[in-house]
Amino acid sequence: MNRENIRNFCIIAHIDHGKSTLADRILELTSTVELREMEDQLLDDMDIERERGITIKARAVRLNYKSESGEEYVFNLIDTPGHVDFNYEVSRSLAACEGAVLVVDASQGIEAQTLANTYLAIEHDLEIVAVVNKIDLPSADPDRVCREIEDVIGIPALDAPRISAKMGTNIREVLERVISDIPCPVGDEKAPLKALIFDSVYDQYKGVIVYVRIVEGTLKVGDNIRFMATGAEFQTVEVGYMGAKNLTQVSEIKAGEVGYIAASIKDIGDTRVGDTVTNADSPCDKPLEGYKKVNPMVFSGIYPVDGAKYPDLRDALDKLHLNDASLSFEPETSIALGFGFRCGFLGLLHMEIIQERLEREYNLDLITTAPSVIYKVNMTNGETVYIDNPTNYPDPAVIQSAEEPVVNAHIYSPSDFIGNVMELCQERRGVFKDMRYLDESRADLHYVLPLNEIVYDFFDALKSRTKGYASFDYEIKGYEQSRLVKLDILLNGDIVDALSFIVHADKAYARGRRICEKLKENIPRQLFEVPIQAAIGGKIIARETIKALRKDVLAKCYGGDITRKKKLLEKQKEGKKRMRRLGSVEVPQEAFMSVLKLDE
Amino acid sequence: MIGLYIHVPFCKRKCPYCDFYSVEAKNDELLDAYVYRLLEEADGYKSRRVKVDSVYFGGGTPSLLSQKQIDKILNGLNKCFYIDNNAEVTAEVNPSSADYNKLLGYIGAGINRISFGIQSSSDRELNALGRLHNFKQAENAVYAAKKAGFENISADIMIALPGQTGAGVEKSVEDIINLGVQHISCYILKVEDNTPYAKMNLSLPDDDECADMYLRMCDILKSSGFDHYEISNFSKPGYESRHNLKYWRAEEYIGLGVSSHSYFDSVRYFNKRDLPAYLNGDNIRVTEDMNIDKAKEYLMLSLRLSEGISVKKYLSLGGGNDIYLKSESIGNRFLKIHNDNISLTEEGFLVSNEIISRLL
Repeated sequence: MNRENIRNFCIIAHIDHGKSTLADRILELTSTVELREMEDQLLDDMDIERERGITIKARAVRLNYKSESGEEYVFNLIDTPGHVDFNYEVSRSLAACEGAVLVVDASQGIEAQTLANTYLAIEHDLEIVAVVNKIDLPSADPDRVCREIEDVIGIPALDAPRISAKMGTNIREVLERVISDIPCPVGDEKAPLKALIFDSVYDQYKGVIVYVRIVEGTLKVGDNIRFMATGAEFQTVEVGYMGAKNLTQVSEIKAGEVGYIAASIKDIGDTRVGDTVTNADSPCDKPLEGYKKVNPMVFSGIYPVDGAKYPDLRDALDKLHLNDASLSFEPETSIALGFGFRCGFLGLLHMEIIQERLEREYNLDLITTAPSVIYKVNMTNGETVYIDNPTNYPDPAVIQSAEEPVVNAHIYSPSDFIGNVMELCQERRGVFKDMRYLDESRADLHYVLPLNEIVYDFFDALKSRTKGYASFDYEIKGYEQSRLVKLDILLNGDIVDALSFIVHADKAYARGRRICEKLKENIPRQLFEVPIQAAIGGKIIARETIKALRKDVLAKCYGGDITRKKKLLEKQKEGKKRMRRLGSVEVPQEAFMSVLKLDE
Repeated sequence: MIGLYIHVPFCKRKCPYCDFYSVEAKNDELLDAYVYRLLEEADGYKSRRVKVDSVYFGGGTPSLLSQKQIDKILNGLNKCFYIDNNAEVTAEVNPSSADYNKLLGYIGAGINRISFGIQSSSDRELNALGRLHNFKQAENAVYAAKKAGFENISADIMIALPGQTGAGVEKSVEDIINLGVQHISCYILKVEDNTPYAKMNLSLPDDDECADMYLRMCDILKSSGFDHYEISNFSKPGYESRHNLKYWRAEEYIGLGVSSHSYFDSVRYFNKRDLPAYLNGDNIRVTEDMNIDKAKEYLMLSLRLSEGISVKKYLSLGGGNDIYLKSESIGNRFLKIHNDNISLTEEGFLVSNEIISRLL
């Protein structure tokens, strides 16, 4: 294919603004997928992605399109994760493109994530093709949304295609704009190989399949390749293009093209997103810019409810890790929960998705501890330690000062809810920076917030206080000194290590009290009275009491119906198996989960 | 010897808390047809020559059966089973459908024990329970039963009723003891799903109040000479319900009639809750448990009795030998361990589900 007839682009959209539906329509229109094979939202092939309407992993597909002028084009559509947790992945996907189609809902306008990703695209010099979707909705106001795009993003949008991906209206116009507005790729096919890794997946037969954009040079089957950041070298077994349903092998891929490499790679850790692939025999002089190693931001302990399932949990994490190098985990032991893993995630959504996949795809019942961030503790002896597990927090006597990560957060909210949003941010120790109106009815509130306040249940609280209308985006700003304390929870006088957490001193009392209340609601009565206490150091700051169980009896036996009685007792016995025994107190899984959502 | 249970699924009116199977008794022909089917079902056991030492008419409202119908059933049963001369033959009787002549007739037919569903001595509470009788009628019924010659009379009491206080419980229990009955069954009201009570917004005593009511009731009954022999049952010495003891001692019994349960030949089975099908002669029997874990049943049933379990017997049935260890961990407030014997205290009775499910 002539390079002038190649277009590499991605689609940027907020959740529910119709990215996947538009991608489906484009696939239909380019006959990449036969209609009978069409399954809604083809690119999102994980169940969770379809249900949540989000893209977790990047993905790419090569499409053939015959333009209205009769010319044949090749489109490489690179799907990007839409969430801030995957910001770095997004930036690498963008780096593989020359342009981006920005999809905005005609009734809702621009949302925080959309804007963040659009700015990211503009930083990468991508040409933006704005598209207004959902014009079929009665509440659609495309004129207003086009003005908003011009005002907020500062790109011309008055002639943006107005489409309905759902109804299939004006999709062709979008593709024509891709041809006219987005430049074709450049690059020297003869130069030493430089290919950008923007994604990788694990295939049990082929090993790791690496998705690349060839920036310079040509890659042939049999070439020896080197991953420049990790130094790993392999011989290429297979190269090709990505179809929507399968891979097409070819003998070589050239500068400007998007394709895949299979080279019997066993460890996905060798193929880091953002790394540069070069030819090991005639390497390029320096790698592409922008590579960085992504580090987990949020940590939590994951334990099987049934301790015997520990090996199953390890297998499941190993398998998820094959496809997700950003997930980190290492064994940890809790007195309360037994054997489990300390897992690191890119962010909250990443954490939720991993937990959900472990439970759903691997059929595991899990207990998750409260998410923690990495605290920086400066000790009196001059040493600095980083703490990701509250259990390991040093004794206050040896702490000189403590720092916590803070973020720059942008919250987009309808004007009606600004008061609620500000109240929430105040409660979460937010520092107000500024506010600007996107239009007469919506505002962008900029706050600096401690990360540990948002990893908790900030997003849920934001949604519930804005009737689901607000959107939210953040980036790490750095560390700031803070007055932190470790709060312990005692059950029947014993510290439950899995419930300890780090909190700002001013909030310790309220948080401790709330946790005690939540635990009281969620721990059933026992044969004896159980005190629940919150303590800082040795000092008790809150207490609740679970009264002793007084009555749990089956009175009458219906005409000798013993089996029904037996079933009830057996069910009760089974229920006990699902509980954790802490000392002599039986604690259900729900109790651990309840302390993760305190705002309810 | 085994027990026979005959379910009589008819009521004049359904009580709003009750989830036992019963239908409105429309006419006498329906009852006759039912009696006919009961005897057909009994006939199926004839070849087994089973020995019986207790017969129990439960319901529903067995006292809707006439003397003639009871007579016909007992005569028919006598042809199919060997009923012991000293068998305990109980009928549940609703105080509203009991009069001297009927009770006299029951004695003539062979009934020798009456269980009155008295429930409370407060007419307000009886009304809230949807009962057809008031306490005066209950008193008269017990008096009539004694006059007719019954020497073994039981009364049911329900506690933890909507709006009931501790004082209310005390008064009911005392009033019913004063009727001079030999046996009292006391049930803590449990609101079952799918009953009208479940849909009402009742103000019921909480679990702590229930527990206090129960313990107070136990004290009153014991100080009046009643033995607390099972979680919900109290009797004067020698008047324990032989029939109900079979359930708790995991002995066998045959149930006849719609929605009755049986444990026979080491198999548990029951008839479905389907009167038309039963009357039609359809097979409505369902086998529910062929491979009974006898140790488990012994444990869960016998711990309901104040006599408790014999560890030796439990082990001989295949029970786990960690039973002492588990019992000790629960503590003597709830469990008494005495050599071979383990039994529940009264406080243990109140939380018996929790304790048994730990021991299972």
